[in-house]
Amino acid sequence: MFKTFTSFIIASCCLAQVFAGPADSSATITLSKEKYTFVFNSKTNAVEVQRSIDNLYASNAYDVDLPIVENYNDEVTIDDVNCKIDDRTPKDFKPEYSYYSEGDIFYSDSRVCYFPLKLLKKNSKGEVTFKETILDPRYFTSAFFSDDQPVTSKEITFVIPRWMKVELKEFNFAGFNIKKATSYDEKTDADVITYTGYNLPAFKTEENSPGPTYIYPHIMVLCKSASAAGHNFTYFATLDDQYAWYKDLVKNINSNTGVISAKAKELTSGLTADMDKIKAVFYYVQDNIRYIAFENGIAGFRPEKADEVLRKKYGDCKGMANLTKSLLTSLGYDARLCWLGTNHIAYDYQTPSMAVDNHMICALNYKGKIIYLDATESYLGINDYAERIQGRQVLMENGDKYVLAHIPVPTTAQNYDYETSKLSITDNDLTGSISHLWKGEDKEMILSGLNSIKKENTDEAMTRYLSDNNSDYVIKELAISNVTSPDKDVTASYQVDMKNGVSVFSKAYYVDLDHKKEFINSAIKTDERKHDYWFDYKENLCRETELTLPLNYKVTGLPADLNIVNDDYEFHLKYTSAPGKLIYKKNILIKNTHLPIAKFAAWNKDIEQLGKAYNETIILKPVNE
Amino acid sequence: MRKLLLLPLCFFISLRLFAQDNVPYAEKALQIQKDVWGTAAPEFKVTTVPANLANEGAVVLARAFSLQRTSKARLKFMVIAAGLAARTSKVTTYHERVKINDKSALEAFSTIEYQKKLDKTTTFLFNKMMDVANTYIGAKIIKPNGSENIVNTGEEVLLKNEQKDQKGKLAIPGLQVGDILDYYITNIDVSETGEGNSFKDNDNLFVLADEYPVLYFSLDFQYSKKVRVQYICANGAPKFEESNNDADDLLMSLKVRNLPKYQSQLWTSPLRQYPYIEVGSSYSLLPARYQPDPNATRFENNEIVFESSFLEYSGFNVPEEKLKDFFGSHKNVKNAPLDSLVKVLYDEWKFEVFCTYLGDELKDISNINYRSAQSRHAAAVMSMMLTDLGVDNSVLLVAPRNSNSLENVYNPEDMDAMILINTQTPIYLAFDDIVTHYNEIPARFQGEKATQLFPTRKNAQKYSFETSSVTIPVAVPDKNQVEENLQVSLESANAQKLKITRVVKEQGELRHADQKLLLPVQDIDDGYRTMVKGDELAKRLKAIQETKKMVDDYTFSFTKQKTDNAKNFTAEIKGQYDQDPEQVQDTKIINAALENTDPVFQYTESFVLNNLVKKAGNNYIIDAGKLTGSFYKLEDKDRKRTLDVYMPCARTFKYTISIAIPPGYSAKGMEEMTIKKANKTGSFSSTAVVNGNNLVITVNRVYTNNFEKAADWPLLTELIDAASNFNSQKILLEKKG
Repeated sequence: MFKTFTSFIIASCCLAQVFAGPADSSATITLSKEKYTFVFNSKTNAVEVQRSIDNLYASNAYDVDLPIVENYNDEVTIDDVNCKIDDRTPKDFKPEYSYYSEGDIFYSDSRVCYFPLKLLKKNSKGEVTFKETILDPRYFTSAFFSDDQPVTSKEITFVIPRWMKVELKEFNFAGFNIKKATSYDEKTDADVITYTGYNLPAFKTEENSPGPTYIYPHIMVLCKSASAAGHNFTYFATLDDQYAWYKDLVKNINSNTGVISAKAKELTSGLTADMDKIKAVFYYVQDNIRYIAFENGIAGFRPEKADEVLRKKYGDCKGMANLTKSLLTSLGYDARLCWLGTNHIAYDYQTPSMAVDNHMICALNYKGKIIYLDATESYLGINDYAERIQGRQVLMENGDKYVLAHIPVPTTAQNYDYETSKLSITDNDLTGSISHLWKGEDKEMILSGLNSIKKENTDEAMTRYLSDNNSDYVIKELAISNVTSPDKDVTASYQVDMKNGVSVFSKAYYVDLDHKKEFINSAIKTDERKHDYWFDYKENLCRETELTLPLNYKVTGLPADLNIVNDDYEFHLKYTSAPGKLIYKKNILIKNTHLPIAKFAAWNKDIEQLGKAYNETIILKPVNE
Repeated sequence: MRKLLLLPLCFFISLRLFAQDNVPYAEKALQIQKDVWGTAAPEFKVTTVPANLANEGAVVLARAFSLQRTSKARLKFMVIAAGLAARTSKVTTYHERVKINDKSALEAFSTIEYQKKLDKTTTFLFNKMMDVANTYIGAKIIKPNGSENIVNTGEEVLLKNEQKDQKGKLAIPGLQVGDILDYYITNIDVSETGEGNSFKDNDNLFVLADEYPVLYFSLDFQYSKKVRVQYICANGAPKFEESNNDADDLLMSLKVRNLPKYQSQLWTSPLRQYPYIEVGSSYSLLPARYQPDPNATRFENNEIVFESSFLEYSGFNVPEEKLKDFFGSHKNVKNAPLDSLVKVLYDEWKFEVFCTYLGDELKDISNINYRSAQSRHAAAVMSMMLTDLGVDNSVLLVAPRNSNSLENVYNPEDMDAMILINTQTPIYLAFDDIVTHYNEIPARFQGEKATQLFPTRKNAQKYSFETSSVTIPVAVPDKNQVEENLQVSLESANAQKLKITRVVKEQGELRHADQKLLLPVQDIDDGYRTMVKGDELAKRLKAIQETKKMVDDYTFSFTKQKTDNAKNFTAEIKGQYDQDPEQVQDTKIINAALENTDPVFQYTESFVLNNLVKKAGNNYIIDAGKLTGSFYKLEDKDRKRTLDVYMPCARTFKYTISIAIPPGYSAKGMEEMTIKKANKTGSFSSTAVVNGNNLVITVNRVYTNNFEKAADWPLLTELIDAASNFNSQKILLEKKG
């Protein structure tokens, strides 16, 4: 993870994490004015961005206590903060300043200034103002219109002196009432660009939704260069500039190459094949380096030295990528660092900005083929790619220049969740043997789960998972292969007794061969859901069940087959009757992980069809009936 | 012998060491490191894990906790006169050596966050009241090859780095699965403020069981003679070895080996079932007569404190004073039958406590239903009022059965209080949640042995007490009952969905959760106001300084909460059937059951459930057994049990489910739904019969007692199995012809 300044984090983190919790309707921001002015600071000889925020709140209920939270860090200072309630500064107004822990980041320079805005009466008015300075325009990357509360009117103004070259790019304006006005201020020789948005809904947290840069209207700010008071500054005028800045950060990060070289030799001792050596290195980093992120100041962008990561046995994505690269390089391979944004970010390197990327991996150029190595994915094998980086553009090291490339997008075949069963009827139970096989991200999900729980509880946890927490699904003789290595598929086999798996009425057997019924409850609540739904990863789910018919029994009723096929997903259920047995096959494919709102209705209809098909049973009757 | 001598010596050295206030942090950290690792027991040298524990995610090879507490009075010059201030020093060290065997344990042990320094020292004129707490940590990693690497704690990051307030966080570098981590955390607190000196502030509880196996555990305490110490060894926990050193400090030492792991099981009461030790200390400059009796138990001392709370302060008897308004005259009050008088007094108390608002409830208004009374205070007040009314009463001190026992009460909060009025039919007054009835005994007190205090008023500031003991009765299963009536039909538009109209009646302990969830705040307020002919909300709000201008605020908020409360019906249905219901409508509270005279909480709702009907050709199979909601299903690991069974209460569940048989269909499978199982722990029975166009299923499930010995667990499992087997039963609706 890297850090940048984005305006939407105002009033939305710390006590309530960024985009955490339901949209808050207890108050409305009736008017919000945000202004960004580029200035030259003659004391520091640097260009700065002065930011002012003036939010007017109106409460929609009584005793509303809004947490006002403003982020800052080494690159952003809060110079002044004020609060008024019904035109008076509260007696107990005392902003607190503290460290802010963000997600899985162990330590960063993120800080928050916070205080409660107490609106005691309905229609109480609150006003909150901040004055801030962004010390380096590179860190100023975007301005958002939405907030934790609905906004009636939001004005974002940019005052850009003509000595400052900035490009403003509009994102997600469609469907919102946002107007733009431009003027020129002769006094300051500055262009004044004002956006005004009306009736903007509050941020709303939803699981599996796209990142905020896909959803909310905002302006991406591309600070390119400046010529002020005889000083010339180049920020990210082009991608070359951004790459040069990154390259400068990583130029001296590998000091003790002896330690790295020795470790690489130790890891590959006895191995002769290149790919075995590469795997040994990659899997070592995956398995032995814990993900712990330090993003303190420039550490948010500069990788930790490889030998330090090796010594500490922990690091963030940059540290792990750099260690992977260093170990491979010491063995003579062409390994490089790659910057990229995960699919959480809507941008790519067409817009040079620090907001474009949030991740670093290693790329191996092996015999002309690029293999991307992301050691933060602890249980993905080589050549398997996590959904979050698939298809993402990467900025790859290439000496003084860079290479732009894209991470491959595997088909659904990368991931595989396969189960085969051989069952027979014993009294009211279905009994038999079952085998499982998991590949790709399904495998990673299994291994991550198994390794996050206590070793002694592994079998119990796996039993719960395989039985879908159904204690009528009794598992015995469970054998799991390969619970640690990302290089091999994971398999499991066991004997099963599905208690009451068969219903018997008047000698007829009613059999339900599908005890998992995946996706049966996956209809989307369209009256609640506001954002597109993004699946965790592509699904390739296969089930093959063979039922041996009881002696002297025949199949008298089979559910109809189901085949739903479109570009995004496929549902297939098929029953085949054969002499003495019955075969049930199921295949569910999620080919496109992005399900837009426009397709929710069709999806729900298909899920209903799937549910109906799941809820049909096989009928077996004595042959003489 | 040599070992015994060593320990006091090392403590003495430590105390001298920590008494040096001006030693720089780094230097002190080094001294502590030398002390902790240099004087550790031989068990802290162990590097091997017993073979039988090889599959454990982590094994605690050794753990030691030590605490030293000293106090002495110092002369401090206050503004007006000189006075005594106590400087207390407390040094605690938690030292642990853990073998890390899996990634889960690695994650758990690989980072540490701590308050490195907190200096709350205050200065005024010539006076400086010291209040400083420092934390020192140390860690070393022992690799499988035996090499030891001391972790550089200087790699910590400071989350807060102010002169007087530092918060540290350290990721242990180099730690891997297979390593042994040997770490300690030492806290040194020095304070002259007089705060934090009570038993409660210095209470340490050690359960002698752990999430990981512990091979060796030592506890060592050293207290200077001015510090008062009391401890409890509960549930068979071993006792300390006590001695004194040359300075007459009290030394307490205990060593335990092979601590078991916790057993995660249904219906347990850990503080009744696992051995534990609770140790605390206090220091006070007050004369001994104002301090706890060192020869009394902790319970006895808390009992004394409780008795001393019988003080008739101004306004303590507001509910009593309102009796005149209720009954019309003092004479009527005097002539009122005892049970009527007590009932009205209790209702007045409830109205006073739960329907008085202080202006801070509106931030989270639903929380109003989840407030609880402070039972000890309420019982004392009620007892004084009853005494004043001439009603013989007693106070029961009782510990909840899901917490420590009464004999193991350590702090006042470890016990509750009720009132018992011994008439021909005893009257119990409990001061508990917002929906507790007159003469209702909370389930967690039932069956408990209580200390009974009979008060006698000497004067407004003094009561005396006779003491006895009594066992609180246990409610019979029928008094804690859920009765559900379901009208079920296949949905006309989609026969694979079930349309259900449900009427639920709940009483006793089993009504509380749903009452608090489903009753709007306004309804409870209205109900209690009507009960005592109390003032309207607006009048009550205007009578209090904090709320006198908040009438609109409360009116708006109560109304809004009532509207929003409807969604709680959906939550209740989801909780019952483990699925999101569709088309929830006709939700209604039939009886709020705020009165003990009409004690059955009753509500209704209708909704549609999915996935309970399977199509089988032209027929339909209904998962009828699931219409009761899921009953607990035992896993194999649950079948053996050594811990006694603490159930929430004796209870009864009754269901009548009427399934409409569609025209042209007949029902099959009723025989399998006829189940009958009964033993001394309870019963389960179910029947299914066709009655006209309906299939009527009845279910009756009873747990006779709230407690069963572990030996009777097999009998309970019979009932649990019978119920869960019922859940699997299905009904076939077969197309005729």
